Amino acid sequence: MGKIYDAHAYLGNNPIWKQHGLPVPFDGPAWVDYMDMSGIDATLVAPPGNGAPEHFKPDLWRIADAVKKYPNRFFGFARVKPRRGKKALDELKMWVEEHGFKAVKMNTLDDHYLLSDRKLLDPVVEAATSLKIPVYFHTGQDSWEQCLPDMVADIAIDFPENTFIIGHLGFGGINGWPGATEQLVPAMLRAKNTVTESAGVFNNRYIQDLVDAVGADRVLMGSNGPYQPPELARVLIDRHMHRLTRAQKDGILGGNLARVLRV
Amino acid sequence: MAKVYDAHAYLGNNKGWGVFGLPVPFDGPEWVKYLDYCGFDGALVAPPGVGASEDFKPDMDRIEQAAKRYPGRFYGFCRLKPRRGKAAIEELKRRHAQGFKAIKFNTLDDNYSLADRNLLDPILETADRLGGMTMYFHTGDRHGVTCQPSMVGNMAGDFPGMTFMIGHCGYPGWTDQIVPTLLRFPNTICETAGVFNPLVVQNIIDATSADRVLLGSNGPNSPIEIARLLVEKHLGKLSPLEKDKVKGGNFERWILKVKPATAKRRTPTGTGR
Repeated sequence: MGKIYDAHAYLGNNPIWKQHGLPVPFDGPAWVDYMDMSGIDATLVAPPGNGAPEHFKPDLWRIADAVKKYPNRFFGFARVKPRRGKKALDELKMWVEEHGFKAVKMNTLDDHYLLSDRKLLDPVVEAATSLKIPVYFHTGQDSWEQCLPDMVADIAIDFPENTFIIGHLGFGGINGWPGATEQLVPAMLRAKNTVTESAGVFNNRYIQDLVDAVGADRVLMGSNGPYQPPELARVLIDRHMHRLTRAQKDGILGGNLARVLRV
Repeated sequence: MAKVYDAHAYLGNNKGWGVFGLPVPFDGPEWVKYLDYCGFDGALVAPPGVGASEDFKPDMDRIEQAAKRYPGRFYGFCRLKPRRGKAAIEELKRRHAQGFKAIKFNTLDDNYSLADRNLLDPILETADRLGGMTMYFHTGDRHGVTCQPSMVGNMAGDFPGMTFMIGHCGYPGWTDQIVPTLLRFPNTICETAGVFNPLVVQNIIDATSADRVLLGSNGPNSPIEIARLLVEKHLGKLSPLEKDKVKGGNFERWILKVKPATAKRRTPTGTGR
């Protein structure tokens, strides 16, 4: 079996995690134990909390620290508020060049914008492209109308040299609502430089249909951990997707993320 | 360790399950293997497919066969379309006689609202008279406005002798109603199918108690194993006893109506004093 990498989780100081028994802040050593318990080798972690104060900096520093102490266990997401303009771009450069962050994450709820606002987003995407890191966009869930997979495809087509991660498969709750799952396959077929990740999606059929339509090499296992346990995402792919070959499972469970992050 | 039961899963002929490699129809022997593979003792299973043809009868027959062939492993949901009127009531009586343990309602099956009591009360009255069955209502999701937890509460208030299970904890969309409803109506419980979020489950338990939450999975649409793992390994604030209740003890108490064991009093044997 290949390495198991989680393509979408959180590390930092979110007090609500205490409600289900996690230590807060939930970072370095406790997160490593959590990965061990969950059968995960490494995780791409973002700072938690939509639009968190201080522009996520306290948790971005926690991530930088975790990456430094456990270089084989954590990959850093730099979470960016695009309305901060040049400051956001300078900080992104700093996280990537000085602290080894591997991707940039954007969630429209962080800064009240639409993924169709290209004047706002293109400078961030250009910076990420020149830094050679993939761009992650949250899609689906309650804010789905602001961040459609189709909008990600539009951006991806204009930056063919970069890779774009469509978060959550555009999915919402149990059966996909609220969300825009129906846009996912057409968007991925249109923009070949997109991949997607499965955080929050616990429905085998959705994932298999997606694999059948776009190929297993464009699907990454994500968890949303610790909001949702990474172990569940791993077990779903590893033990309950019976039509996938071992090689396909290995790709979804980690190989594809390794390729996207160039690790 | 206490037994582990799934309070909400499906058994039958859903071609969609073949997409990810399950045998279809997915029933008796294959489902038993699945229970074993996933660490479950038994499951309460419903016929799949919103508004399925023939009023779910072919799959309810499969469920009846599975429960008969594998006692203790399968318990049946009788899934009813209330607009079928007298035919629905006759079906309910037949399935009750076969030992089905619960009635399942999903408003999408028959395009109705749980507020339509003219439609639902005849079935509830019949079930109350027959006795022993739990009323299950799907809540939440895209059609959640037609099936809100508070609507289930209203029925529970009018039928205090029956147990009402609030499906999916109102998730997604109507979870804000779940705690007030559980607190207001002591004959309501909820189940976790599709809710793979420890915070949602823990908040309900903190506000009510671990006695009112049952492990549900939606399986095999979602793997039943991960519903068990969520409760067993990722609700860090629950005591082992509370986990046992959510995983199976509450199912025995509320669905199977097993009386909790009480310590036997020693019989006086003589004067001794």
